[in-house]
Amino acid sequence: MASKVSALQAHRQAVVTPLAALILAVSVGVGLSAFGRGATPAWHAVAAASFSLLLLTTVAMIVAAVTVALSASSAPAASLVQAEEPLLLPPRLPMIRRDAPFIVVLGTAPKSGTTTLARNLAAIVATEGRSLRVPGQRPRPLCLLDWPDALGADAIGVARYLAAHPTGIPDDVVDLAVPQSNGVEVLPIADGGPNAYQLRQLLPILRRYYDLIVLDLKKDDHWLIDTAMELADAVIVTSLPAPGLQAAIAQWSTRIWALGFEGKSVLTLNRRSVRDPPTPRYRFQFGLELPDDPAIAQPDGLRAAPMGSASPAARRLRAAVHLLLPDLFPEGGR
Amino acid sequence: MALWLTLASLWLLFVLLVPKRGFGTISERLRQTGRGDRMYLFGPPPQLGSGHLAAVGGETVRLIEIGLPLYILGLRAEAQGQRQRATAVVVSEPPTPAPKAHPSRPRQYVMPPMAWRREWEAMLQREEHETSLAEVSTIPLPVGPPSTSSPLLTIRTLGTFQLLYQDEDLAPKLLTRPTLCFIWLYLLSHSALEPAAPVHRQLLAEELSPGLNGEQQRTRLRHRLYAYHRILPPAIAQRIRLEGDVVRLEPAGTSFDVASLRRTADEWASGTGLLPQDVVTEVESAIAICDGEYLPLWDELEEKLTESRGAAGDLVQSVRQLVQDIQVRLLLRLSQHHQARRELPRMVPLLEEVLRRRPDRQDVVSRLVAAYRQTGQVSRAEQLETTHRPEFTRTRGTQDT
Repeated sequence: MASKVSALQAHRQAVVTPLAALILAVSVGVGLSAFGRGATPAWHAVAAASFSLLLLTTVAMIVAAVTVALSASSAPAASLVQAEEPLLLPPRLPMIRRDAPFIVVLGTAPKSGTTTLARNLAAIVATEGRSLRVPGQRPRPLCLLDWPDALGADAIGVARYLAAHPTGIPDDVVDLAVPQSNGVEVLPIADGGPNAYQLRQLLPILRRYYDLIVLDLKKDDHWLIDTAMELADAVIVTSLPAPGLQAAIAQWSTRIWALGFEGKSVLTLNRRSVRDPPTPRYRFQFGLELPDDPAIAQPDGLRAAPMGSASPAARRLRAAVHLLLPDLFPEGGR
Repeated sequence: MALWLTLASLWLLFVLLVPKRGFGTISERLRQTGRGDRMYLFGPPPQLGSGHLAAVGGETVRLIEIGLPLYILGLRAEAQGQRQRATAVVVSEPPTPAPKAHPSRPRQYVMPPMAWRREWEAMLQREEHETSLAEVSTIPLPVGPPSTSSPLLTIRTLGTFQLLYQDEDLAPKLLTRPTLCFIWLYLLSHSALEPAAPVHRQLLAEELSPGLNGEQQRTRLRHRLYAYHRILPPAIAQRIRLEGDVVRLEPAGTSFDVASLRRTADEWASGTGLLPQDVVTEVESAIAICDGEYLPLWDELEEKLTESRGAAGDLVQSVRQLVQDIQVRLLLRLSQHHQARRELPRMVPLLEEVLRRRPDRQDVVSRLVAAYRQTGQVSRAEQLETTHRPEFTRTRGTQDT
């Protein structure tokens, strides 16, 4: 019984409003019975309309019963969506039309979902895109993940390599990237990752070998972040829609505006639910909202699980990636 | 009775037809549901249990929530969205995944098997016997510089060895003749160090055949120079100029990477202050090029040909040192540019690299310590001061006075 009541919590308006209307109707009926019996022209009009109203109600009830019965019999046994999805604004994103785009994913706070977003963005391109360089082949995206021991890759090895090549990075840095089964290659940049100067050198090299470069940046290194934003074709600032994070979003907005990067920066509100209050856009020109998706589990050792095709967040992100990178998809982002 | 029937009908019509929530968002919800962006117009039906009756109950709640007309429209949009999602998932013919990226390796020269080399030597010997020395002396060797209208010969020696002429790499052809390759690279290295100075024939003959007497050395060199112009492509062969007793590599019509680096360093490294933006790019590119070792194949070639008995190895080593010096000069110049622009974070890695290559440069230590302090890296500054304490204190004391 308790579970049924909790199931109706989300639909309380379907119960409360008719009950209120019923109370109102009974009150009106009692009032009219007590004070206005057979005296007014309105009373006669009500009596005359009762038959047609009754007929109309009967028809509506029959149609409703048939529709509900059909719908209930054709509904899937178990729905993938267990809670109501929030009504999200349509994505507003810049269009990147260049070879080997470079996308930077930043977070306003820890656990904003930057790694999940970066990985899934690259995975969508790797599994659904088309390479512009080699016809008939999928694109080859690279994820620079701020994640020690990311997916079997060796972050310490990368750090040592970069320390050994402080000013000139050779092409064989791509040998350190670890290919994943979905076609994405991962290069961990956790501790001792590239500094801003090395990032400038690294990017032209990576652009020669990859169709898309996604940088997941969590470091509190202002020089590196500013350089990454300067070099990026799109900056995705990820935040949870919590009211406590609005100050952080405002700070990022001001910083991006001061640097003049607002034309390529996207505010991404991650894990939005129905209960979340609306978040202001501040000075961001572009915005993306992703729904909260319980299918994306993030246990400690297994974070950033890939999104499934039935996931609402994955559907939303897929549409956004097609808009953002139209040249990497056969239909040109439509 | 009529009153109660009327009121009951009105109430039932209200319950069945009127939406109870989300009045302002209905059209957007219908659009998103139809596109497949949402599964349901509002939320999924409540799970009131298992079985058909529970499903009917859940759907009834949804119907009451949004009213019959919207419920029917919503069902239609949900079915449409489901079809959209189904077609989006199906991929007609998935393309092949991209293979793992691998760096494009520079082609490294591998010495041919000795059997091949002996065959070449025998062939050369036969041809030399057929041609008399008198004929050799009458061979017209080019005297003037090559025509300026001919295409450039691009010589790349740092980290690789390439001779690019009209989109063709002639280096493999030269490398198949190790002796001729040795002569060519010796003259090239000499021109890298002293562009205007020619090499005396006797010196070249000694380097080519160390251990033989002077006459044998000169004869062997003469034979090789003859073979040079006969066997090798003209684009390479015509670069060797014979002028009496001296030989030199003609720089006209060539683009030599070491010479270009030297020009860049001479032109820009001596100044101070800001650099033009295009020059910054040029200098950064030059610094990157300097990372490659000059003629990486040389040591193997020299070992096989002369067993490293001559002084040619020292010549190549001098060029390698020259390239390192150029890189350090350019790094320092670029750091001055960043300092002038108050871009200290960009200056720091340059100075660190200079210090790694030249740990004895106390002026660089002082600049780096100051840069660390100005960028808030106090602990690194103190660590560097501690490492270079005696020298640093002395330098700072000298500067203070």
